[in-house]
Amino acid sequence: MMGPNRERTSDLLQGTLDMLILKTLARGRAHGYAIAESIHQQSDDVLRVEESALYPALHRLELRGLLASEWGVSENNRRAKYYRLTARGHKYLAAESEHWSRMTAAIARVMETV
Amino acid sequence: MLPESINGLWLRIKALFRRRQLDRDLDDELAFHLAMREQKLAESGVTAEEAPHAARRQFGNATRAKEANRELWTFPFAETLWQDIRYGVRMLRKSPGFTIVAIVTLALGIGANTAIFSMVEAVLLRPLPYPHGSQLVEVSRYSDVFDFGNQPVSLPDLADVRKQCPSFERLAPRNYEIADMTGHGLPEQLWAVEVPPDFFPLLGVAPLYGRTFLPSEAQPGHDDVVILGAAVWRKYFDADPHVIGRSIQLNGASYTIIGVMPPQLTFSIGANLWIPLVPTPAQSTDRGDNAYFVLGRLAPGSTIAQARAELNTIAARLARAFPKADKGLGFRVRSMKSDRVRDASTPLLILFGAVGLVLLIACANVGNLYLVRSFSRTHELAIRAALGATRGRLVRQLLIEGLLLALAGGAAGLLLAAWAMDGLRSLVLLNTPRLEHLTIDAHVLWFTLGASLAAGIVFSLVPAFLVSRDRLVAAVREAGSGHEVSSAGPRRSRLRQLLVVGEVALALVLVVAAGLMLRSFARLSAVPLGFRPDRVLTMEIDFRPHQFKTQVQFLAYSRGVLEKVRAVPGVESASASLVNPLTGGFSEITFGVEGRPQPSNGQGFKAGVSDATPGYFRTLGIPILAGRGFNESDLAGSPRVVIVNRAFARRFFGSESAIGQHISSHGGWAEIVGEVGNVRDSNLSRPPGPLIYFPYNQRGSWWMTVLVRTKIEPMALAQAVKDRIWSIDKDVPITQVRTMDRVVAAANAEPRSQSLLLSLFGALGLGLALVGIYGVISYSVGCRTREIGIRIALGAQDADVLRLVVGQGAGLVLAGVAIGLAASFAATRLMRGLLYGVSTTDPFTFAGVSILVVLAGLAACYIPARRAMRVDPVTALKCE
Repeated sequence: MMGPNRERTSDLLQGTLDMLILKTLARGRAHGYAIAESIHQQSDDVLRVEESALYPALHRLELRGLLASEWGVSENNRRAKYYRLTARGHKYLAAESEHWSRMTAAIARVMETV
Repeated sequence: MLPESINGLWLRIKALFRRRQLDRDLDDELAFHLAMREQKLAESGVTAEEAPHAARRQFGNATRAKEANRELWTFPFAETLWQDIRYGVRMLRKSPGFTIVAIVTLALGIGANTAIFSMVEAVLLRPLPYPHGSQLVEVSRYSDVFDFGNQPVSLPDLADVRKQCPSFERLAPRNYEIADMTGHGLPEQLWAVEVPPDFFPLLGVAPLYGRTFLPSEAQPGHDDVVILGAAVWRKYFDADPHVIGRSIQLNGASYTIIGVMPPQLTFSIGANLWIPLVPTPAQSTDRGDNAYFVLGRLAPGSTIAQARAELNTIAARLARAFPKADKGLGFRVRSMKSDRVRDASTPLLILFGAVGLVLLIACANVGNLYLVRSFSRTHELAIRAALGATRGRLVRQLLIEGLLLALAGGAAGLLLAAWAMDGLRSLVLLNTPRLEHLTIDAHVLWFTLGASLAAGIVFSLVPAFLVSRDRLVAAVREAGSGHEVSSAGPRRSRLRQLLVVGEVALALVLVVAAGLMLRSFARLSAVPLGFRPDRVLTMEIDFRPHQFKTQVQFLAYSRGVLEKVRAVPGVESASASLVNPLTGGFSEITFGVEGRPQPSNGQGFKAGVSDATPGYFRTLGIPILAGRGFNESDLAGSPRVVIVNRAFARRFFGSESAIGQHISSHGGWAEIVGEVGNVRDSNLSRPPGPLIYFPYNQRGSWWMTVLVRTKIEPMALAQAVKDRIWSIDKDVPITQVRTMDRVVAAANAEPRSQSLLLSLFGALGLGLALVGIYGVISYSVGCRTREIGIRIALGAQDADVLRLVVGQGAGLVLAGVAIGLAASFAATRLMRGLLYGVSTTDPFTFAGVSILVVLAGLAACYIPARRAMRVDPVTALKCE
């Protein structure tokens, strides 16, 4: 988690963290801890979200109207804040995913041409 | 993007009202995360004690995350600003002495500025209340031989201007007539302004009710219509909108009311009404009848300069074509606004400059206090810096406190100005035009706000400039070692001394200006009037030609009036004239002198003219220097005689005697039978010119100014005198009832109010500067207590300590006086037009004021010096 490796990933993910959050929430509502764990597992333990950066990102998305939040009771009976995608969030995610696919495909092509 | 940011803004505003809830939510969310993590770590085998630490480690900096979240949900700039403001208010309340002194100082400075600015605004800045008012001009004539100011225009000349001057869209003459309105209680005298039908369209003003004049109503026989001014309408008709169609009696004739004009139409002092101008054929053709004031509207795109050039050409042409009437007369064209403002702008701008200096001194003073306060707060600021406050935040703090003070001072100043407003209106600058509109309006409020903010920024940036973090850190270290005093390093005390020098210099300029004005006023008050104003009552009776069929009837009436008045117990003598001295009402005539060629300019000799009944000179106390006064046999039909004043005799006869000489005027020769002393005719500052007195009963007139010398207080007899006059004819209007002392005071009113205000500002400026000197020296004594203690312990005497302390102050004062003198030499030149009998660099004033300021400055140093002398060396050395 700490060390040079993390710094590189966090730089890389700064722009994509939003997208990963949105993607995760596309499957349904979740609280912050669940989002972090989900990203970690979905990426086969490669991506680890810096947890202290996760929450400001969530709040920023909420203020931008891409997420909505509500307070609920968690599986272990605690008060937890649940996030879900808004309609605008769905649209934004679709646009971003497409952009992302084109970008990674382009980068892959460049990297393969040696 | 925009809707998203609005969404966020909305959420943040909602959060603003649920601040506690927001904080709890932010805490709960992170706490939940950590709890979940702990649980997971525990499941994976981490011990119960270790789990919370591990969870936190993995999370990273939770406090920063929470802060970051909080900032997202709030308005960090605005909220820290609010914090700073509250902190500032708290700090100001903690030192009430400083706060009160600063606010009072600023209130005086800003209040004086607000008051004077409201005058500048009302008189100079506010546009005329007419559409495109800047295109309105007054056209008048002036003599290039004698300067008698602006004179009216004759109708045929005006007709030529209208034809030959394309710069004007329209031109309209107007004439002022006195109208006695009867049938509404006491006979009332009003100004009737005679205007042609296109006068109101020219101004661009629509009537409040009714209509304006029709072209047909400018024809003889159809002109019995009247438009009321708003003041007349309110005063005599109770602002009744149904007044249209009613008729009123003016000068014994009946007029139908056809309209009411809005209140901004002010064309005379006091109430007025409007009647059609219907010139007689003679008036329309007589080029010598210069009787009409002319208002013009410039054509769109034309300038005053163009109009002036065209008028100059026309004047030259008229002078060639009609030398008798038009030679030596030019046209003058001035914007209506400057015509209204007349000479008011110079005194007003000088007063405005003076209060500006007062405000600068006030700022320097508060800046000084603020600086001292920032020394004593060095420790506090340093700790805030050490806790992470940036320099910007600290500077902002100082600025905010300064602005708080300035705004409080501004608000107090506004109250002060509002309170002074009535005084200004009634007591000061009586004769200033347009001052009737004096109010604190939006412009004045903006000015006050601007002045307050500017003042706040100026004085609070001084210490803010000196705040630097490095120095603050050093200050903390020093404070720890108990040498706080040295943090007020040399740079700061140098700055404070500079401020004091500046204050003294500015105050000196102010006091010099006030001194010059006072000297001028004293000179003016000491001017020999030429008559004795004490115990003289004066009043004017106006008659209209319709009241008396012949001159003989009128003279019989006026003689009857004087006889009745003389019979009032307590009256010593009574006489009559046309106008009073010092009222500027003397007209001017052209005459010839027997045995002398006419002057080469073809204009004839000119002199002022007045009329006098027998006993006039005795009543007013004007000395008869040679020959005789008028007597009861100087009547129409008897040999024509005149009396001249000394200036006349000197001008035209030099050392010869004037008695027995003859002058020609009014188509005949008259013998000079007496020579009397000069009186100030138009105002106090103008030296008396040549003046001819005609016998009231011989020349004949329709006007009567009654003069009554009494044995007792004159106003006590006013009612009795009026009753006697009304016992002959109860319908005559009697106006201008006042004592001659009042006439003199009115002539002196403007210089008096100017010197009063300048003295007030001078005293204020000097007072503030003295407080400034006192403050600096006193603080410096405080800082040097130990040093002074050592000196005393080593044998310094009182005189040595005194020299030490006062010497320091004297240096500052002398530097300020030197700079101030130089500045005064430059600044007082602006006052030239206001001063009478005093040069703008009057050495007496300059020297006197310098000595005054130096002495006052030394006195201000003496108080702290005495404290220094009383320093007990033992205590001073121990108290470290």
